[in-house]
Amino acid sequence: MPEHRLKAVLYISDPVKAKGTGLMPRELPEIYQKSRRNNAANGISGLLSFTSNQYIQLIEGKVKDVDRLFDKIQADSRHTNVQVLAETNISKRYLEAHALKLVSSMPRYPAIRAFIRDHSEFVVKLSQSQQALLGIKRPSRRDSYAGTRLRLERWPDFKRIRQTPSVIEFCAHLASGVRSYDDMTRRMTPETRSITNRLLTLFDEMGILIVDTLDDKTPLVATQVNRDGFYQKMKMFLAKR
Amino acid sequence: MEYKKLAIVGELGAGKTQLVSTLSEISPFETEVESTIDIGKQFTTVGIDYGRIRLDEQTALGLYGVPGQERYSFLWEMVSKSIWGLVILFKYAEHADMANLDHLLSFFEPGQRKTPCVIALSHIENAGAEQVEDLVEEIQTVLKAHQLVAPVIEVDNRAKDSAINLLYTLTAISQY
Repeated sequence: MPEHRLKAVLYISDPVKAKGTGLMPRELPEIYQKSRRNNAANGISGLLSFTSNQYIQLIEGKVKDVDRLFDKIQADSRHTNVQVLAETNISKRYLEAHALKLVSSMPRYPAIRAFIRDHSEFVVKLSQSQQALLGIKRPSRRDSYAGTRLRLERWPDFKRIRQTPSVIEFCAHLASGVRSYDDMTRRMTPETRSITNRLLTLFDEMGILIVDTLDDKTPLVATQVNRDGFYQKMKMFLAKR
Repeated sequence: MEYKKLAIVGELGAGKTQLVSTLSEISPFETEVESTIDIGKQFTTVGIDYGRIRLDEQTALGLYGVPGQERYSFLWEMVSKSIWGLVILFKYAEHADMANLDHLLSFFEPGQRKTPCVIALSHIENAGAEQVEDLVEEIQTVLKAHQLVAPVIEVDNRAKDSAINLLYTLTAISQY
């Protein structure tokens, strides 16, 4: 096999039972920092995520380098239950510039979407939960949100959207629970609804909006608003600033 | 008298003292000593910074800047009583101290206790866009492990508008 041939391995694994007080695996920062250095030294590029209490990693590089690294990964006692989702030869690197990039959500990262698009043959073998981890079933951007439930997966990057009071209020609302689009917009004027739709579209493009259809089983949380005396006094204080 | 606390927790040199000073309506009480290691400034806080915002004659928000290091967790205990909001202040460094953030979130449990929480990034003017993106992803990874959806916002600790924006965001979150 020629020396320059490239391959990629996409796998998931479980963290070892955390012994610390936190919810994140204690080993994650060490794995991340050391792997960055080692990958850079060995010509490996990679993408790592910890989500739904599982590690997901894509590694790529020369065949012999990836094989050697993956042998080490499988023997590493800091994680268990290593399952290969895809192992394939590749004609180009998807993560050229990154020795190891840590991402909070795989689906948001364009390289993983490109990898899945180019190697879709492995997708049919994945379970529904594995597909969800990779964002394969995530609905794409839509023209209308009527009949959907919405939730913000994370707050937006305020470099991409102005941090106005109304945007902050809208984000706080959508980040606090699953919301029905129809309930949310029922009493809005056409103009406000149009602004709302534009914001939702932008959040969708940022990959931070979870959109489910109403027949999904996610329970809707009634909007419980607690605008107590302290809240009112804070609002009055802020209005004077 | 209704009195609530805003905890501003951050690592060495993140700018807690400055942020409390910018927001406070009284002369802040500081407990600074000369730093024994090079953190880019001569003095650093060993205890708490205290300031206050008076909302009316009967109501006030206390501002408590407390160190983020685990060895000061006895101070976290003190500010966690009657806590209204939590600002976790990060200064730009090559990487976030993910383990410490994990520990802070496990202590304050803002998601479970419904404490409004904002992650504020300071001193990032010298960082490149990709470096900031990496830092944010490290922070978001920890937030996700805690199932916490909280804003990650840049802050200029010296600028009143920027500091007030943190209060505005916390207030917006506090109604849910």
